[in-house]
Amino acid sequence: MNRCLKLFFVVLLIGSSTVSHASEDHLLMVRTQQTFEIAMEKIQRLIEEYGYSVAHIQRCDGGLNDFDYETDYYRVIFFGKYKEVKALSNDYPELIPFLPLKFLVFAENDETVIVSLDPDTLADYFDNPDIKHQLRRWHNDIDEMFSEMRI
Amino acid sequence: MKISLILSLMLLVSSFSVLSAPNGEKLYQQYCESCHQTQGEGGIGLPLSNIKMAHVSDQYLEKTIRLGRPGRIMPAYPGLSDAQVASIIGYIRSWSDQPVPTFSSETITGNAENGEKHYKKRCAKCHANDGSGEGEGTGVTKSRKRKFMIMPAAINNSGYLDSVTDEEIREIIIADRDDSKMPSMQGKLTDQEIDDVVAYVRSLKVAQPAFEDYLKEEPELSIIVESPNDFESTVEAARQALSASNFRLFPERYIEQGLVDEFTHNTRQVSLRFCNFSELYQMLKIEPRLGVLLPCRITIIEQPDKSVLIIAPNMKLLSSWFNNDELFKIAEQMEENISNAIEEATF
Repeated sequence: MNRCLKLFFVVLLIGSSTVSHASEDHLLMVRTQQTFEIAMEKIQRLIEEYGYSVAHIQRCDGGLNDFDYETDYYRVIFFGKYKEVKALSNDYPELIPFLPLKFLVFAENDETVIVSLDPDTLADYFDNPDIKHQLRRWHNDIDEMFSEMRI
Repeated sequence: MKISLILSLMLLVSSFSVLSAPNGEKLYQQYCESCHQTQGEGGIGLPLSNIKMAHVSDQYLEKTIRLGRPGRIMPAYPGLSDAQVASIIGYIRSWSDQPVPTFSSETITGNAENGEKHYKKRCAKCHANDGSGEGEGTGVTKSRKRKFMIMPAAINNSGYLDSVTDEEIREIIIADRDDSKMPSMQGKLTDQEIDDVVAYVRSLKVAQPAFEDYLKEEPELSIIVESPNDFESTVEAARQALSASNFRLFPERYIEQGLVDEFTHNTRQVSLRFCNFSELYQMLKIEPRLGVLLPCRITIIEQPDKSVLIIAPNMKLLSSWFNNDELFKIAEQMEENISNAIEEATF
């Protein structure tokens, strides 16, 4: 019986891992039909709901008009959890360029696109299972936040 | 008993598969919509317009999904099942009631040398002499002013040339494409001349994007240099080195700033944030998602043993994650500028 159950779960595991590795993209992205202002408000609320804090929002439009951009709607949201950022920046200096986490939010006409580097991509550069697990958790949180942005 | 139990469980698993038969709309939302927009209007990616779809086969779409466009933003999705790919194609096709074209996979015989002359006269203005497009990114121009509203496809891309048949290329050359404003060559070139252009386009194939060779070197995630100086001196030297390298400096930030109160955050981890506007201008034109790497920064940290490190992102590696060869080429220059500034600061 135990063997049967093991076989059953192995089959399920293989099935689920095939789905989660379908894409070779290094970016996580979502497009929402919400306007930029509404999308900005919602993603910040989701960041807080998932236990992170918004560290600051970088306006990238200061000089963008001078660079032929016609929109003002281009922002980078920095966010994270203090304890995680503190611990990781001490133990893994090579992760510092990726801390805190970032979402790029930009408008395409009436729709809004949100982009993040996929934290899972960074896992290839570490052997420690704890850090791999941490990066997977971030991936999952971002993935779930983006799924909620679609609603 | 055991065998029947195993069979029952296997049946249960297969029934899950049936119950969770791929939903093309959901898969499209998951994998395609961010770039191609809700109904294929295009954005970061090219439009999947009804006009375009009327000139491409299902086999072309399937291979395009599987192979992507190496170095040209669109990722490959080799892990999707046949059923998933078919359901995505079915969903895209559902936007139009036009018949699905089919094309022969036979090789068209043409004189590539002769085709080159016609290509350079008729096609290179948009697709560039080497077939790489016009060097201003992909997709549809929205907020960025570029030379075209719809950026010409990179027809030298291996993903493209491995997806399309000769007859399909021929069809694209003679089709009247109102959506992309690509003019028909019907009547402007003879049948043989069109075949010659097809042969020449085939000869343009680029094996792989430039960043592939770089990735084989197994580059480090970040650039870390130990400073011979103390924290304050290193920060000041880095400021001066960045300014001398024509970077504009923005207000500095601590890594933990904003995540905790100002009395608690670590002030011995400071990020110097900077920008070179002409490089930024070039890069945003070709990659609107670049913002996930902005602003450029180097971080100086003091470790518990008082040693000081300067840490910068490896821009070449990071740019390769965008699958954008144009971006990678600019990042190579940017990387050199940042490395020079770090070297100067730690001299």
